[in-house]
Amino acid sequence: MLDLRSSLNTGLMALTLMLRRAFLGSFVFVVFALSPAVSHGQSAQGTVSIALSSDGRFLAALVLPVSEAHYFVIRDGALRLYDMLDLLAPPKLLSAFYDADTELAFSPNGEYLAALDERGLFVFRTSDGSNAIELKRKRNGWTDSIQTISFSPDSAYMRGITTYDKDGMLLPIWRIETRELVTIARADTPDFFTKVRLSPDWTQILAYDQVFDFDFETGTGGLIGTLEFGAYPGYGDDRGELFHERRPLFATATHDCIVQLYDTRSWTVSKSWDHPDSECEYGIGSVDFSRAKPWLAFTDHPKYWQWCESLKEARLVVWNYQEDVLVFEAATHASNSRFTPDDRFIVASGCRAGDGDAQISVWDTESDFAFRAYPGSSPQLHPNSELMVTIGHDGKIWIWNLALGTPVAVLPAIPS
Amino acid sequence: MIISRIGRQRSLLFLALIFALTASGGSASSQATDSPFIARYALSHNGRFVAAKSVIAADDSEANRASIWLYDLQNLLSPPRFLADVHRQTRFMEFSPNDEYLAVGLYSEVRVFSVIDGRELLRQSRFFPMVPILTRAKLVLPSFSPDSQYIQFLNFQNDDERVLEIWELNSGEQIKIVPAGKYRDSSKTLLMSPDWRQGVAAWGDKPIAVQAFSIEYGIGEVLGRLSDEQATVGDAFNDDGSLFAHATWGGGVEVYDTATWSPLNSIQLHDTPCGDLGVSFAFSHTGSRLVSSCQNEDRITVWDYENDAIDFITVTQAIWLQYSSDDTYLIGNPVNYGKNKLGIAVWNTRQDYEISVYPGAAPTVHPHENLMLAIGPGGDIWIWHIELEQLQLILPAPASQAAKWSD
Repeated sequence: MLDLRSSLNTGLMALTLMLRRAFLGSFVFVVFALSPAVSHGQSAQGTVSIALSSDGRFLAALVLPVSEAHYFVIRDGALRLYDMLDLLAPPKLLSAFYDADTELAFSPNGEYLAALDERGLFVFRTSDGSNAIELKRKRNGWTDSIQTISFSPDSAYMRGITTYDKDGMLLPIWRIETRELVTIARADTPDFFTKVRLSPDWTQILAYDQVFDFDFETGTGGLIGTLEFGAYPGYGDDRGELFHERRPLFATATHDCIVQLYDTRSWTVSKSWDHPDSECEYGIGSVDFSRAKPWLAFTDHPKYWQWCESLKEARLVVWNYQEDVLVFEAATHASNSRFTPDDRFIVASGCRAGDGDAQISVWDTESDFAFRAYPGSSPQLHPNSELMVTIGHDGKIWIWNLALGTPVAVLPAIPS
Repeated sequence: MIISRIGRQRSLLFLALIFALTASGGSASSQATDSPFIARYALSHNGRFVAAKSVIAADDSEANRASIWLYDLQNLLSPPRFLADVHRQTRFMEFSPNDEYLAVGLYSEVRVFSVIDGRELLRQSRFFPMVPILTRAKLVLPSFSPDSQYIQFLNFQNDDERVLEIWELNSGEQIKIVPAGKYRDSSKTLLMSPDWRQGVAAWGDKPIAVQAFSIEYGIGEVLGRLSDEQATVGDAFNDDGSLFAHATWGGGVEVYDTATWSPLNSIQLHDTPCGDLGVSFAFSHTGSRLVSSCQNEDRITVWDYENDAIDFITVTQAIWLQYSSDDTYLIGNPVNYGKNKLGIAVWNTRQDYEISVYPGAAPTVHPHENLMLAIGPGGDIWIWHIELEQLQLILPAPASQAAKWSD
């Protein structure tokens, strides 16, 4: 049941629940599904994390020093902001950061950059680097267990998800410019690991297998749909689910690797794809819609602790859900597949065969899905669909031209 | 990336550091055998374009090939533009004053391209028959006219005769051939003033004549003569051509007022003869400083020719000496006696020539910003912010790190 409570401008929640964040921390932030305003990634090497604004104007980069043993070194790193239109200008230093699991997210209009790390939530203005919001985690308070963040479509609000309440999840929502806590919605979920997803227009919430309409300003809503049996998160819950940006569609997958498309107007299954063989061992890792074509791309999910080895038998599938036909299928070591904005390329991050080095796989849908591999990780897709920004094996930031397959510029990782 | 920032007197430490640097990083020439790398580049006067010569080392069949690419620093997200395949030995690259044209060439060929659309506007080759292409200098020191409408170069037709060829770029036509005298040494050159009104016959008969020049009339009256009787080892005009510096084999340096060709000052700047390998010169952009580095001397000399003051930077000799646009920094490539480059040195002229050392070679200062371009150890173009002492950007050599391997 979704219980919406409005607590305007109070910030007072008398909750006395067990601290869960430390336990959850080991399962978070390996991969992220793409939201309209966020393109985000992290380096397996731990030296840099990057995010590109949806207009391609700004690039945020987190630089951390790494010890010779390749463990994260707990001393100051730096969060920097590049202006992609003026790469010869030194990047702005926003703040010292040292948490390699920092989540970065730009607002849809590119005016804000949010960073969530173990210290708390920090929102910066991209125009001058000033702080719009600074929310430190408080032990035993709900702020301590904020897990993930996103911006509203109009960039005026930010929401987090916390696991503070043992019976459910909390969704605090702030109005950014006034720093006001507008609402703390609560979603009752039977499973501690359940994700909560907001539709791109912030009008619907998916919590566990239930869907609610949602008006965050008035705090009203009600149940509008339920996912089919089996279409709920299981162990590890990163099986990949996604709302279409423009159409009333929601893609998800069951434990048995059946990909389902829901019509979000009625929350009924309109299409489904049954994974043809039994090698979908850990579920579907990611799904992505193409923007113009009726295609859905999805890849298998890796084990967390054997990332490269477990992707040996993974597969990329491109499905035309309108005609219910297979468009393309390939064995791959990659997961987390995404279309470029023009739908020309499919980009997935993963590993190089055999040696475990991070690799980005790119298929050109306009050239018979011709394949090209790039060294590195954390691909960020530019809105012009020509450029891809990645973290190289050397810890630098590489900007690639996808049509040519060549780098156009490399940004060094500037330390604190 | 910055190895050291030390006082100007700590020369031994500096040398140790840069030797360590070259042992670890190497120069632009130390490449994987099949990787393209940038061997030479030029920066436009407005700081917007970089023309780069990219070569691939390994394949013998490609041994003579290189390619010229054009980077737009105001549009860094676009890939560099391919201009032309050129001979690997192409040594000369220069932008016209208005930055609309790029001239490239080697001793036997001059080519001019439009920067705007990449069209080749001019290609002139001169060969001695039956003589290998690189054994004799034929076309020397191309330069653009101040209005960027013409290009001129010296052509050695045979051992004694030489002519100055002037070409109009819009039409691609040769408009003038000016006899430029007879000289026994084919390496002699005619150094043009920036305004193309005067030519200095460097390495010529002594005392060296300065002659008037015009596109219409060619080489004209003698305007003056340089006073020193010794062979020239280096010369340069300042930015606006109002001054001329002339260094001789014996280590003396003179500065002339080019309006009258009267010497303003002269000094025995170097204690030992500079020898045939010459000096590296640079005028400061403001003030009255001239920096000079001569082989056989382990120091760089900064001469204030108006105030007769001398400063020494105690270090090995250096080439590619140049001042930053506001003269705050002096930049150069220190070299050892074998002329091997030893990284890049940046001296802060306002902080007692405090030195910072950078990896790479062939530094060029951006005209407007405190940026320095150089060829990095990997053969890419590295752009440094010298005030912040940090590496700002790397422009990969074209087609050097394309995703060639596949899963």
